[in-house]
Amino acid sequence: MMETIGLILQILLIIIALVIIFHKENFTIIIYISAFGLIAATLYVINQAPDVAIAEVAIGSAIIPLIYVISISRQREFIVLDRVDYDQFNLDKEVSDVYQILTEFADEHSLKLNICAGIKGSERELTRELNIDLIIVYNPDKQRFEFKGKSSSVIMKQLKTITKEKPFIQVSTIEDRDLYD
Amino acid sequence: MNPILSFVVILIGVYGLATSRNIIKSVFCVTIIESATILLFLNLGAYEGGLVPILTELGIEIVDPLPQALMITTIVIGSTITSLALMLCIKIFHHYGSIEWKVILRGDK
Amino acid sequence: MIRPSSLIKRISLVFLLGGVLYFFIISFTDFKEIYNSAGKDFFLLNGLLDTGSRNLVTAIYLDYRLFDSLFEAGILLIAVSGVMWVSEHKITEKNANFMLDKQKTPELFITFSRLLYPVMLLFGMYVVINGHISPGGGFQGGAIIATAILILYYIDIRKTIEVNLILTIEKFLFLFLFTIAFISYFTRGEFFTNFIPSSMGMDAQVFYLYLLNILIGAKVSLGLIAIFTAFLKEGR
Repeated sequence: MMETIGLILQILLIIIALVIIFHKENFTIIIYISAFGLIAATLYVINQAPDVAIAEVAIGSAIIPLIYVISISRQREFIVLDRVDYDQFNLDKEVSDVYQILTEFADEHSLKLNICAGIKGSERELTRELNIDLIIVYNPDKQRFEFKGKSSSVIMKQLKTITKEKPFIQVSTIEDRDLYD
Repeated sequence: MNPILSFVVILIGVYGLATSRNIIKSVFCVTIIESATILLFLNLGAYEGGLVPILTELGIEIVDPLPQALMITTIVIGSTITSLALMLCIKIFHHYGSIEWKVILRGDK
Repeated sequence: MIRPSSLIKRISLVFLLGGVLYFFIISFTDFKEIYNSAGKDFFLLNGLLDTGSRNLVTAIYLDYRLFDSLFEAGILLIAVSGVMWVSEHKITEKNANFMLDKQKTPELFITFSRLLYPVMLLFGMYVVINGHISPGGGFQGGAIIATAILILYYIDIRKTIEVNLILTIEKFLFLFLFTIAFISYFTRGEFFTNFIPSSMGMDAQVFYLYLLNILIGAKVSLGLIAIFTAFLKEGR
């Protein structure tokens, strides 16, 4: 009786492992990882090892999926810092163009746009510490917006090719610090 | 029959690790390999008719308690390795802007 | 989407893994003849009288193989310090408010977490203390206590725990664990075992198991809480 249950559960384990490596969305695989841990814990009990089963349930089905959820949701966002002084200049049409470009860009890469304002600090510090991807500044002498981002990021290159034909946007990059001390 | 099926899960995990497209899926496959390895070791120690190794009364037949003690530390170590790998994945994303292996390894071309 | 060159590579990888599986099946068929049960008989005869614990798995990782458990605690310390060094979690003076962080968790989750939190904490402590007579022990109970404190973040995500205090307590716990393992040289004459002499009987040797289980449980739970707090506060 116990042997047939063990055999059925192991075949279910193989099926879940195949689904995990062939699925494309990262966020729904987390539920499969939690189910994998639970079925593995049942198999440990059938093999007469309850100590290992308690450890596997507590760690492999409760703590590890929570850590995966946090790290996957951090990898889906595109952080933009807006430093344009809107009261001084009258820029309604250009601002709506800029935000339309940004929204289309974020949708194309399936990222979420996360906009903030009012943070003080130098640009180098902000891109390093707070992981800000883009800073928007308005230059009144040359009448154009400036986008600044990290030089090692792949996104900045794509932004450069997209905004080449717009005369009022210019993209420049900040050199990041050396990673190997 | 049972150790062979656990070994098949280990090989599925190795295949997934070798042909994964983004970083997060590689870390998923490491978790699969680790759970299946622990199942393989516990299955080699158990036999039919053996009981749980807790002596409520003396003179009963038990399974081997040594692999179980070693596998407990294996689970805790595996979880710390996974958390360190995921922290490095977050840092890589913020530096390069993408999570696919080919884009990251290609560099600035 | 799948190009022909990568399809050939995948099929050859499948055949290679199939070959490994074939070799495993061949070498496995005579496993039952080479298995001897000398280790299992030794633990069955001497486990209860030497250590005083009825759970033989706890007797192994707290008395016969304490060296491995010490190094496992050391690996936890190294991993926690590695995560702390890579992440940027000390940003307090910037006051960064992001647009998407202002979501509120539903009322049902908050009420349910408030009901569950004391029950989980009590269950975790029960599993830690009764490690030598029922399935459980230091590592398992530590993971359950860490999950119980993680539920606090559901209730209010802005109240994060101070990380520096947790790390200092954890380092002192590790040093204390090491000292207790070394005391046994003076009372019994060998390292890394029980420091209560065996002439005092089985009922007095249980105190050592209580002490070590509580220390290991506290250390594992504090380490996991520190890792999770570093993940939550990264870059905010």
